[in-house]
Amino acid sequence: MGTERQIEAALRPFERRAGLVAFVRTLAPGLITAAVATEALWLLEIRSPLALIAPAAIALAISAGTALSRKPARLAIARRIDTRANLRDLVVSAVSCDGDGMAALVRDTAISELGRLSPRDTHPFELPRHWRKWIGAAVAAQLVVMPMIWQAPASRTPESGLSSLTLPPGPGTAADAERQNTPPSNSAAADPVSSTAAIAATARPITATAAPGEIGSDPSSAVAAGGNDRLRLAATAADADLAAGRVPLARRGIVQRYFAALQTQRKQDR
Amino acid sequence: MTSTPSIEQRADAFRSTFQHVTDQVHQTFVGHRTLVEHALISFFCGGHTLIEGAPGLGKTLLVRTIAHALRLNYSRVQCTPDLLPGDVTGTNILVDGPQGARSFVFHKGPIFANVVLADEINRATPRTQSAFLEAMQEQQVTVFGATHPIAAPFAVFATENPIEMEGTYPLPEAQLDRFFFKLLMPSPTTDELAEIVARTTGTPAVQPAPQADAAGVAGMIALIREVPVADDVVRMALRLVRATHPNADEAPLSIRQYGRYGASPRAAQALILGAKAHALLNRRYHVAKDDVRAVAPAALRHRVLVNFQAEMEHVTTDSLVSDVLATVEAH
Repeated sequence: MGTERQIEAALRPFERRAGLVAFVRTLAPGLITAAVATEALWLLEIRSPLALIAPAAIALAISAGTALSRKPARLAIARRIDTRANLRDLVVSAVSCDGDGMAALVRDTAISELGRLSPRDTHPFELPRHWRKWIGAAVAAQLVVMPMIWQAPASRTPESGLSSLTLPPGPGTAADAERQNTPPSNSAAADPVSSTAAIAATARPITATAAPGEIGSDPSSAVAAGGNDRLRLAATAADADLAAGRVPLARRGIVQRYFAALQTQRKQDR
Repeated sequence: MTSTPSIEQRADAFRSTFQHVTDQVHQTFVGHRTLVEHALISFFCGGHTLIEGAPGLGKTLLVRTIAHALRLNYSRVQCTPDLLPGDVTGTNILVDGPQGARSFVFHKGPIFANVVLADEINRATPRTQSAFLEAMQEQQVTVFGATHPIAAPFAVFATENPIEMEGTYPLPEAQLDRFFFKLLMPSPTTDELAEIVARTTGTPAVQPAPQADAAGVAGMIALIREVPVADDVVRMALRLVRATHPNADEAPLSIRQYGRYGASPRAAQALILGAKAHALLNRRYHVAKDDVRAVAPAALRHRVLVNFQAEMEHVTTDSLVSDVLATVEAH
């Protein structure tokens, strides 16, 4: 006669499998997030091995925690087995009904049926619940992050410079005011910056004293520079490093230089 | 530990007897296999059955054959507007004693049988219909203050004629609810009609010997109640019942539009008991949701009351029950 312990024992492999499936289901979104996080760290020039491993490790830990906390109940597993194996509520009845008589017969039948079933068949790996949203978010994140990585100097050959970098016109800053006093010599300079030459044309008046590898030796120029101007200054300095063959300096990247300029400006503000 | 073979043997005996009665019914009664199965399920669950069908379709034959196959007492009451409650329940008669003393002696009416056929019950007056109420519900009759129990098993098979409604007294909701199942007997197909003619115009077939008796039937009724039901299945049956109520959250749109009153708790009892019998018949010792679905139309169709709009648009309760089933299955 099938006892309640026997039905519990028969269900144990299915419970383990259900836990694994739940873990994998929660892992998938976590890994997508981790991949995007790793890319963001790479973009921010944080490239230690720990930075590469940490997001994935955190994702694993969160998935394991979520899978454990949301471990499916025995009844839910029984329902799943009944549905997948077309057992007509046999396992649910075996789990729910206690006592002797017919309930014991039901447990006997259920144990025998469970012995024939494979947990892999009843609990196959499945896509995460909102997988379309997760994939969409991942694709969107790639669309945002990948161009930034592509445009970063470290991703480019020294010859290519920053010619493909396009920036909108800067806000009304001291640099703009100075530029307005000097009429543009050609259309490229008048247009939003579209080439290294254009960057140089608009940025040189401020960064004339800047040494290669720095944003500008004159702090007032960095303070006066607006958001886009800071980026232009950083780009110009990076190009100068490339041209001078100072590849390691150039590899520090345009983004890092941008934030360095921002930091300098904040210090000045204080 | 010795009870297991006993239960299996009892279950086998149940199926064997059920099959025997079914076969015997189908020797004389052509077609309507589901109807016969549901009529027997209702009987073995200890319920009463309302059968709706045109005259001449074999309703009386069906009930009489069931009684004969199970070696049970059978009586028939032909309901008419002038039928009195005493004609059903029985009455006290003044009799002369041995020493010339006169006393009242209760003379049992036709209700005192194992299987009672109340033919065209909607032709009886409400007063007479109510005489059936106590007998059906309490399995006893009270006459002149004295209560007389009716021997088990006891089942009333009532019939209704759907085509002649003039001069009839439709059964009140309270009485309808006392019927375990309501079964519909449609007109036979051409093939079935040919079979009926062939069987009834030739030499009558020899009827096999009855296989069970009252004690055996009582054992079968008890066995059905032993079948375990999972809480999931009970909840599904309860959702079905709830969904028949127009104001319930679970109710489908059609019930909200056409329903007047929903099924009572007796409907839930009928669903679960009927499902238990259905499970046993299908060689299972547990009730599945499919069993509940199988008996749901018979258990719910007379308990869902429709409004005037539904009658105007010829919306049947069966279609509403189908909607209820679909809604509950979708959740």
